Amino acid sequence: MTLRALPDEADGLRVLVATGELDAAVVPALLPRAASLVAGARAVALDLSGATFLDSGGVRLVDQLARACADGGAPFRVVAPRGTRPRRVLELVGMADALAVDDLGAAVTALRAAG
Amino acid sequence: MTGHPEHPEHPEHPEHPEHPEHPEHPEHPEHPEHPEHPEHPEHPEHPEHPEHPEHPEHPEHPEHPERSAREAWERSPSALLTLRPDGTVLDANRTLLDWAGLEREDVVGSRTLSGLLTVGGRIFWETHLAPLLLVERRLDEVAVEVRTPRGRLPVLMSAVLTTAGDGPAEVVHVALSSAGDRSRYERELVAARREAERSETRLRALQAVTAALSRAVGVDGVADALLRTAVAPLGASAGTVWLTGEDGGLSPRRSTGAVVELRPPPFGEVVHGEPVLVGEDLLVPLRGQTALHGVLALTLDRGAGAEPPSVDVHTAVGQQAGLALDRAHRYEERAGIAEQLQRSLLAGEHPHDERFTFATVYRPGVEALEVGGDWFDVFTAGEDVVSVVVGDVVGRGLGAAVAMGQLRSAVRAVADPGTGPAQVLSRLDRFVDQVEAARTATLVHAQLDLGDGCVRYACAGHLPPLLLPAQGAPRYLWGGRSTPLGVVLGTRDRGEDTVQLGPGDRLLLYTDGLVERREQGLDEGLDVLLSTAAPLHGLGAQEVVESLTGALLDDGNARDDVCVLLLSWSGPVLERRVAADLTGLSPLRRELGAWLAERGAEEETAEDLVLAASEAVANAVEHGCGGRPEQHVTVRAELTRAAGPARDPVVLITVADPGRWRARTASDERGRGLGIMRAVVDEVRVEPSDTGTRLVLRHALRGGAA
Amino acid sequence: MDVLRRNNVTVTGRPGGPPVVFAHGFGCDQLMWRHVAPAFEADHRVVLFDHVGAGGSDLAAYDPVRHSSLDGYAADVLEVLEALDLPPAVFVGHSVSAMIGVLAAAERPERFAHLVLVGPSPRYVDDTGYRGGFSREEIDELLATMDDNYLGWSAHVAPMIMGVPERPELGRELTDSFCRTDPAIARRFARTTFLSDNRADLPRVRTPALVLQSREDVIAPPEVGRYVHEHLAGSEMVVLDTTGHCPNLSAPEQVVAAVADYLAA
Repeated sequence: MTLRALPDEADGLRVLVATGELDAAVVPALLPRAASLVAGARAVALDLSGATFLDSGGVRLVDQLARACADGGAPFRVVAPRGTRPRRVLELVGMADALAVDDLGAAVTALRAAG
Repeated sequence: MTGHPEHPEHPEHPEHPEHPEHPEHPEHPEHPEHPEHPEHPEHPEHPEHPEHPEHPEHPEHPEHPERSAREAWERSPSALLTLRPDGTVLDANRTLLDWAGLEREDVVGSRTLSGLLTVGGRIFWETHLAPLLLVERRLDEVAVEVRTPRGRLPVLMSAVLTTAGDGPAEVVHVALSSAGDRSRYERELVAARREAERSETRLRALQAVTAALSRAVGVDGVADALLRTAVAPLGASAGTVWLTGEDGGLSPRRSTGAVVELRPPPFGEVVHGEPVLVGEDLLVPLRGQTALHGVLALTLDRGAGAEPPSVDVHTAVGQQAGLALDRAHRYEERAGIAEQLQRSLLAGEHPHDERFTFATVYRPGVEALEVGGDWFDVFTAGEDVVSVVVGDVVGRGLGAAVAMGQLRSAVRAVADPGTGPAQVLSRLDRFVDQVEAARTATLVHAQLDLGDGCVRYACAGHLPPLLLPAQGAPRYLWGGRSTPLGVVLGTRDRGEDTVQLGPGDRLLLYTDGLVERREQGLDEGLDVLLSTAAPLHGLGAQEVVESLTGALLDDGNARDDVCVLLLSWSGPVLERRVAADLTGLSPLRRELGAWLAERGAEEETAEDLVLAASEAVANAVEHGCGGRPEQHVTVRAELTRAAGPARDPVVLITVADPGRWRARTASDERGRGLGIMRAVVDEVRVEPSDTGTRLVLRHALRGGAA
Repeated sequence: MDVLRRNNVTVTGRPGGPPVVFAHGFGCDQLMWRHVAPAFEADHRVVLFDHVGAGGSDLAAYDPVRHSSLDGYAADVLEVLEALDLPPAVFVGHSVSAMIGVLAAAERPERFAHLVLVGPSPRYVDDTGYRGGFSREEIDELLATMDDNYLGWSAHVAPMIMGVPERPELGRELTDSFCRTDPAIARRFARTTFLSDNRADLPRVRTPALVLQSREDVIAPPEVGRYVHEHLAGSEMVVLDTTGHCPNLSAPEQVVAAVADYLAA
């Protein structure tokens, strides 16, 4: 899997793109970087539309990013289109209502409204 | 309480003006006189609190003669407080208010002492100090920190709990003295102790690396040993072993955690130098005697309390791993030859496969020296077919035994993968043309497809196999019958038939000694076998064959030798034993997904099951193997049938590990994993035992509840 | 292994009476109950014990792996109950022992008649949508404080307070070890206690429970007590008119009355 940050938008919106499988094997190494990944952003979208698998380990990463954003006062959304595995898992753990949106456009709208 | 004017137990604080043992004033009932403390503050009966509940009467306030004592109390270099036993501040002196940057009204009556401390101190107070004070009635020089506008102020706290005035109420007198120096001194000692512990930990970690490398077999074994012992134990959160390929380039071979990339420009430096730090990654060269075998790339754990990397230790790890890789390369050149040799030696063994079980019994005839000609055999023909044979060579004695041995080998020889039972019999017909003693032998040969449970079988003059379904009555299989070997009437084509097994269905093959008796006909014998076998379906395979032979042969009338074989199909099973290493999760998910698709699971059902199984395996690896990667987790997926008339197909996935279950519900992510499992599959069952924990996921193959 | 010796188990009260088991919290030992337990001795069999690592327990029995989670302590409790072969017991757990009781009752409900949870908290660290009262940084600070007190704690263990003038009611030998855990074990126990999350275990409990909550408690604030009450099916909650985390010492008569009322109902 990969996780990378796109260059920030002009208004401080940062998009993080995760692809591949976010599972218990790969996530622990990423957790300590959560704070630095969102540092300085005014709003953050985590794009999971290219993620093929998400487990409770991956949920931990989403949770960590959400907290890091909350600490920095930055609104946070997760792009997880309906019908995909990441969306299903976020729904199962009760995080979809607060965080999940269907596409990046919806994320941008929600984040600008929240910001 | 006795007075301690000289403070004998605190000689290092001779200047301590307000030692908590001396909060008293001259008229204090327990301390009638303290002439050596004329300036002793008037505490807690100070003017601000004439209504002080613990001090109902103080008529002389505020004209108390010792107003100067109050002054001294206020200006003491130590912070002084009085508290209710529950910690509420009744009074505090100026020093304390100055430290805390608060006004008296911010503190008195509303705050608790613990509210003035830093969080650590607060918890320490609530969980240790307050109970200690209430039970022992005093505290001596405990290090805590006071929150001040300028940051934390380390202080030493002493306190006594004492009866105030002559009433029953109690108050706590507290003195806090600034402890900057002592705190620094303690910190240095703690740091020194830590450093000593660290070097010991490192030495032990290095010994573990050496030990693991010395046991490692092959290049992958060395890579695994490194990842196991030189990543987490040496303070890294992820590690990747990059190995030099034939073209001289490096490529990742094994990882634990996320792949640690080799970012430029490490190569030149790594080849010639010591471990090099690139960003958060530490790159450790793995040099052998003549070549650079690869690089161990580590992501350092930079979390709170993480240890800094030790160049010495990592250099030693790199050197040892380089030498281990030298050995591993030499070993792998020889291993190919050794493996072939080993396989040929094991060729005579019966196969072990989780997808089927079998049990056999052989009883010699009454005249023990007369070797019989009965035999059984179990062997695999191809990946997914197991072949079973039960046969009987006519006659007795050495000739029959030799013929049996030849015929047994011949069956194995002609039963190539893809050759059905009828064709096997045809080839054996040609064989017995050459081996006179084997002619007119009878045998039954069945081939079970382990993937779907389909059995092809053929009987050459032999008694019919008995089908023992997991549910329902047993019945004989009368198909696929033809003449004994070498007895060819008309055509040389042999017939065969098929029967479909379900999970747990069994097939019983036997020789005539089991059913033939002098005083009864063959049909009667077959009926007895049928009725004897019917109630045995709940028993294990070996128990069934033992019970059958016991029931049918222990009447003293059996004379012939007897051979019985029971073959049981477990159903379509996927069984994997994976090392306790999370990197195995991803390939395992793919295998399980493919297996479920083959069984006809819908995509969503399959993905949910894969998710639940992945959670279960991750849990087993992380918590059931106690962080010991040499442990293993077994994953078994099987298809079974639900109870009830419809007998809908049900998937059972069992994840077994050697750990104890109760050690693992504590943290949020584990709870979350279990929550996910429970949400997506019909049933999650935990089966703890003395030898480990089994977690069983049960879910309908189609239209599950989730 | 002798479980009763391991956990320094003492049994008093009426033999054959319905058993009440008192479990102390993080920091101290069974003496925490000295003003509460005697009130039950007339009618009940009263069981007191020390968690491994605390008080008079067998320090050698401390297992860093087993005791790295509260489940290990819960397993210890179940082993004690088993060794005593008690009928279903009233389990009174203070502080972290409240959650240890929850885990034990979820695992073996047949061993428990009632749970009394004094100052319980299923999670001390704040989480999304949950206020436990502490941030992770604050807990890290606690662990650092415990390090700073390494020497002070050692000194506590040594006989430094020889000249203690008065100890009403208690002989010195009784309180020698009170609140003086082995520092290394205390640090680990703090980590286990303050980093655990047992929220998901609350719905697993079927045993009727009473939550006793101080009016003010910086360790387990009233809203956390309410959370426990709301997530424990069929539980009752009583708020005690006292402050601090140890009502069993600061307001023992209220604790006794609340427990007695609850058991009488």
